[in-house]
Amino acid sequence: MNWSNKMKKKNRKATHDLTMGLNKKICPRSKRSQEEMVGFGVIVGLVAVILLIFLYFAISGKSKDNLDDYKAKSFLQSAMNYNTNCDGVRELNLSVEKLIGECEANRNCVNGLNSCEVLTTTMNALLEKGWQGEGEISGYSLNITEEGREVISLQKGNNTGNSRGTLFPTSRYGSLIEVKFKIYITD
Amino acid sequence: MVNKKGQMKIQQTAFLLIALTLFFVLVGLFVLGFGLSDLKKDVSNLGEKNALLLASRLANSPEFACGNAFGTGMLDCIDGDKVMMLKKNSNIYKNFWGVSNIEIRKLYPDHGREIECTIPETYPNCNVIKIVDKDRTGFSDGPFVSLCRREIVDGEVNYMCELAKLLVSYELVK
Repeated sequence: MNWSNKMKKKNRKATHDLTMGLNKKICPRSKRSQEEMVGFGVIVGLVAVILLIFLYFAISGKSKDNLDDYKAKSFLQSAMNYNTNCDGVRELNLSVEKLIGECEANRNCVNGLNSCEVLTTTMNALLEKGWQGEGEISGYSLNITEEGREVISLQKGNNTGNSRGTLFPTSRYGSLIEVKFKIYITD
Repeated sequence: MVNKKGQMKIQQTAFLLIALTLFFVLVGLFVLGFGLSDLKKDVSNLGEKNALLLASRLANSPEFACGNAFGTGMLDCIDGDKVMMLKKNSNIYKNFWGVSNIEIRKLYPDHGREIECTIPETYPNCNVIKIVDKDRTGFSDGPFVSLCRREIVDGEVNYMCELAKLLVSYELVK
């Protein structure tokens, strides 16, 4: 009995070893599954990289609309309404918009002041006080033209090449007056 | 024995896969962290933009705007006299606009130091009108405006418009 059991066990082991040897030669299962897992890992990695790249662009792709245009526009609009110390024939304290017409027509103020001098001084002061403390602004320029002819040109600071601007068209005594204002943004 | 070796190799591969996945997750978190910090900046910019747009809307709202009171209708023009009356009733309007601070700051002519406008003490020889004055935090920005008022000179009504800024403060995103 004991001998018979030993033989049976020996035979079973031999059969098992033979089967395993054959299996390994014909179909190396562990190697194949390893290759599959490496392939799977590569695919997971690739998908992860693609997803991350996609996510990065999704996050960083934002619109960069600038608010400076609006500030420049509101500044020019408000500056045109500013009442100067130049008195006109019909009204006291002419607005900058009306003063441009007076300067362009070479008419002096009723109170004896030179209209162009008042215009230049007032615009300089408005620009100075309006844009001081605006961190992103490195400079500005203002040009007033009448039918293409320059009336006044003011500039301060550095022209960085990166500018935002606005145009204020108006008319006085039948001619077109254009006020061009640009602010230069720090790079 | 051969089977065990195979199992070991499979385990090694599995661990390698786990390590790879962890590595990519960490890289992802790193990138996302940067992305989110940019998002915070975006939120701040958006808050600033909202402050500017709200200030612009306020400047042209009936409570503030000049309308046709100073001749032809002007854009971004604030009626100083009207605003001073609004300031008197600021307690009623405290939570009306949903912002922490609304003030008008005169830029030119310059009075040198800060003088708050009160009726009848300092107005119009002042440069700051505080309409809503809660704890000031976050962004504070706004458009340029014309601050206009009526003056009587030699018995005649005269209009005076000055350069100012309408500042609106928003809560800061933490």
